Amino acid sequence: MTTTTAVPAPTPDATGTRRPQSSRRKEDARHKRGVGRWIVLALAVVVALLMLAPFVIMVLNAFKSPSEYSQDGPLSIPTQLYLDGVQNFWTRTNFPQKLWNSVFISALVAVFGTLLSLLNAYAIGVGRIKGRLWIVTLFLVANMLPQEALIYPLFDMAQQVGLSNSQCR
Amino acid sequence: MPTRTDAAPGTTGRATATPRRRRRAAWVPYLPYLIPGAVAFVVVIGYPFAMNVYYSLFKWRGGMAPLRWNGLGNYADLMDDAAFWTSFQNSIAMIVAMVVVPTLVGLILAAVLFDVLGRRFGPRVSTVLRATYYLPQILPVAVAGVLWNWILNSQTGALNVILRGVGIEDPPNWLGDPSTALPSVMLVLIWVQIGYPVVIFMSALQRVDPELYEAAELDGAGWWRRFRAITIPQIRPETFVVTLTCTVAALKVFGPIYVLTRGGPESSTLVPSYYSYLNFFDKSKVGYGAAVATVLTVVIIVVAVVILGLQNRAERRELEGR
Repeated sequence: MTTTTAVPAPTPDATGTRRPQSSRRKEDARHKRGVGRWIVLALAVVVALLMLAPFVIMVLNAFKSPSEYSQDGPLSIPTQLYLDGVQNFWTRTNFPQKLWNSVFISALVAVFGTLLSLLNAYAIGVGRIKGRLWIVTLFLVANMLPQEALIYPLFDMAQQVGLSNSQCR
Repeated sequence: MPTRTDAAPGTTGRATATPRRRRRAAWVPYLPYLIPGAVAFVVVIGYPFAMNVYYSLFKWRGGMAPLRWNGLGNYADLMDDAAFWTSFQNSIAMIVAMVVVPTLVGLILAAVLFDVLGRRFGPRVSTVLRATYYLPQILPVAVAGVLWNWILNSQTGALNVILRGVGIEDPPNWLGDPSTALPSVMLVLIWVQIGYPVVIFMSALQRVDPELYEAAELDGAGWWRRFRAITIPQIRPETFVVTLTCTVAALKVFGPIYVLTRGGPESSTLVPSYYSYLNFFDKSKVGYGAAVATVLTVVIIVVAVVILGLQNRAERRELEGR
């Protein structure tokens, strides 16, 4: 630091790079000595724990037997690993089928959504179609629409074409 | 680009007519690419939305029941409907819980993570904390709702077990009491929402030129001064994006209400989207529900246009300021 000030006429470049570094180092040292940064860290960790708490409670009770739950409440740490609850849920709700439905729907949405977007984007971006700003605005508005403004007609349409309440296989 | 000239091969000889015809011919061949999107748009959005507006002009119990013309009667009824006004009042609470609080807290958390913890404790600490804050965002809303419903349960809920543990004899029935239901729902929404602004703002802060901070530090500006004078103005575009997307989401909110309280108790957590759902499928007042949904749509579009207008004005003012 002393050498920097000792240089008679430092170029703008030299001052620009060296001074902030030295001041940064000074500040770093100050912060390392102080407890301030530990208080900030503690507060940030407390926020993180509050965010995590519901997950912890969920996991804690997923592996707890009903009798233990009624005896010790939702906050106790389970004494043994109880897997029957998860197993019952898995078979009773036919979870594999639910999971498959999710995979199937997401895959269809991903493929067809991308395909549609690709075609539209090609016309708008590469073809520079006239009125493209309006088309983009229309898509934006469509994105903002509440589903309730569409759901009843969609429900009605599905009923009319026999899609409603039928296993389409 | 080469397709532009290919599209009008016969016109190249005549100089005067060429530019106009060429330009028109250039984009016309691209029109067919819009057809699949246009068809999907009409079937899934355009036609249903038009039908929804159409239904809102009728009294209709749905299904095979006859449609009875009601003109703007449904809209007139809305004006006198206390539940309708309550639902929009609660929308303001939803905006507080999903936009105002998460944006302000997210801004401070992001600045603290990026500025203090990232620098003093290394990037790993800030990355882990950021991931923790974001965790509720990846949880399906139904799971979050069921989880919180159970934590806030008046008898066996974890929260009341803790409260009884510290000596509070009669802890409130959080979601079952009209006076505490709305604040409880807001708390859950804040918990769900907070990670989104943190992640957006942290990536925004990486974009800010560190020389600005160094210059301010040299001039003796403290952390708060730097936060106010550099951080907030520099990440204004991201703040607008967060505000816009979250406000639209807050006005549309349905899932959390559906799984947590179903609008109750005593309509204390009713929101417009749930009120319209209630009319559609519970009360079989389809025309009335359609009117609620149409009003909600108009409100959302107006609010979005206002926010976009404010953003444009802020950008213009910044350009003029320089």
